[in-house]
Amino acid sequence: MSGPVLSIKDLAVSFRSRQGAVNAVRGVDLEVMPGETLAIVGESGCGKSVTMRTVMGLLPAHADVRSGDIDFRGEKVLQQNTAQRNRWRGSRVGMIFQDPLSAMNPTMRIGDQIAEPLRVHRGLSRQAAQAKAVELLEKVGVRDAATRARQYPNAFSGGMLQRAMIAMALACEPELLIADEPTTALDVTVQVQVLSLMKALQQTSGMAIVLITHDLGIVASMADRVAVMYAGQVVEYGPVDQVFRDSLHPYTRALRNALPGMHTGASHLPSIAGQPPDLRRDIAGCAFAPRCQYAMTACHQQAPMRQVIADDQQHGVCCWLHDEACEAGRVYRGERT
Amino acid sequence: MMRFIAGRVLYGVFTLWFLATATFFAMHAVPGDPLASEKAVSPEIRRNLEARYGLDKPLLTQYGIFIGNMLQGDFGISFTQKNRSVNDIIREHFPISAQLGVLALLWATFGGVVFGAVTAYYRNRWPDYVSVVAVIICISVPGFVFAALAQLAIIGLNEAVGKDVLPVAGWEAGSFRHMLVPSLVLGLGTLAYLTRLMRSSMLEIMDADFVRTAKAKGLATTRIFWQHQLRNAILPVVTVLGPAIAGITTGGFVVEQVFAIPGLGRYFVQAVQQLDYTVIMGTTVFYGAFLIFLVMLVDILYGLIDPRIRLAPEKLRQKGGPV
Repeated sequence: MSGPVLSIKDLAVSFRSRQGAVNAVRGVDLEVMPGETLAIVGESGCGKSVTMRTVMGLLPAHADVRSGDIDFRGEKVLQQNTAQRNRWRGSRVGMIFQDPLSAMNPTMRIGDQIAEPLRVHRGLSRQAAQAKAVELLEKVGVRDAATRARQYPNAFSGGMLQRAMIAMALACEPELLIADEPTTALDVTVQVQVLSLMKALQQTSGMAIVLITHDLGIVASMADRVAVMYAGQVVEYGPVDQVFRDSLHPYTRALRNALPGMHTGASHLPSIAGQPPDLRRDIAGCAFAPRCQYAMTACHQQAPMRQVIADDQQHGVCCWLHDEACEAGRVYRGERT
Repeated sequence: MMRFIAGRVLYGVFTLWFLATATFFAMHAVPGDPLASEKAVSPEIRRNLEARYGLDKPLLTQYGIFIGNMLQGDFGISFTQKNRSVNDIIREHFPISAQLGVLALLWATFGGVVFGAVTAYYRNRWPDYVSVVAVIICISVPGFVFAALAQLAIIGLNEAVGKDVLPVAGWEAGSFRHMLVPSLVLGLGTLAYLTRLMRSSMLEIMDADFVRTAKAKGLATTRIFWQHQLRNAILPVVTVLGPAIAGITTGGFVVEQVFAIPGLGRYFVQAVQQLDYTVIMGTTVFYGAFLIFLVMLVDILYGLIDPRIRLAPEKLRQKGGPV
């Protein structure tokens, strides 16, 4: 089973709005390899969630997929209707969401919600599915699982509920788990527990994880590879240590520098000057150029092509500074050592 | 749960006492009395009659006697209908009103939920627009207009078919044919209102996070509807069922009148016109008790559907007080 589990090519998604089309995703290429954890990072509105929701067919009615191709193990996702998607959704690909309290049905018992995919996809009987649900709850570290399975979401804490969510998403042992900011709504201590649970479950099952987050600390501790998104595009991707150590894109560098360190006082929180671009307009050139301290004339005129840094073909960036012919880029590239 | 029910019962008894007392004194404050409508009688006969009905006693004494009899379940004898006790009137005519009302409520609830869900799915397309117009008509046109129109339609139908498919008016115990059209007319306004309520509630639920989760689980649309959307969307409908029942039972009078159905509503209204004290008190207290009981049922039903409501009092107790 070599080759990527999921591959996304040139995906473009826009939303219809009164003020015109909002181009939320503007040409995303991504690949997820079996068993790996790929983190997608970027600030709010950069298109990271929209990209993965497109994969799952969870876009709202006013969204249009403009172009692109999504391939999950031979399933041509964008050409499929709901019934065809439901053959793999929830069974071969699981998804968990940001706020577990609103993402669970408040009027349905936890056990029934976990058992549901087993009944639908595996055709298990009610009893068998219930038994499996209790087993799954135990596996994700919910104590007294048999009692807890009969409770409703309102009886659960946020952390416990996210564990139940994970149990539900993993009920059918998927090859891929998409986690959309799974810990954003949780306490910091609970975050660590939930993340290490995901890691542990990945090690036993060998599933791939796509982790959507804006927390670079989570990326560093969880992910094998990272894709940095900005204004609907992947601007840099590669193995986590390489991307963090040798950040190629000025945006990645700025993000890294914006992390408050131990020695930063509370009075000074570094930030990136300016705002992300208005996605309703056509963007000529590089989307980050207006905020980029290294921006050149070319950056404002023409969008940069993807450059793969030659050593291992793993680490790529979309930035003119890394163009062979770029004079200023030599200085920029020389800066990083 | 038992504590919850016991609390509601106590509350209901208090409400009922308040209702009875307020009605009693308001009724006696109205000029005239039940005997005023009788033909001119000599003062002597009048005194005899007053003594027979206890009207010669001070008002507070009368109130005490009334409450005492009410507690024993006795509402006395009607002033205007000779030799009929109020209990007899209720026993005889309420089941007719109740059958009509329950059937109307069934139409309203099922129709409202189904039409509401359907129009939500067809949001901003023609079935939705058609329903908006229909709802506005059904809510704003008074029931007796629909009742008359329905009778016209029945006559037309019977003539077209050449035999009596449906009765134009009248009542036969246990005959569904006689109940069908009146109950539909009676439930129409509530049905329209519930349709609108269900539609907006359904639209909200369709965008809910947990529905998105259900889609991500790969569930079929029909399963998502039955398992995830319906139960949550129906909550606001259940909330207004209490007032809806009140509307249907009290609104039954007009429909009963047009279709010549011998329900309790007619006696209720006639009694007020004739100041038939015992019948006014009897029907008011009875209707009141009936409504309080139904509203309580709705509250319990609500708790069964939504676990958050059921748990609330327990949570309060655990935390040792209101939060």
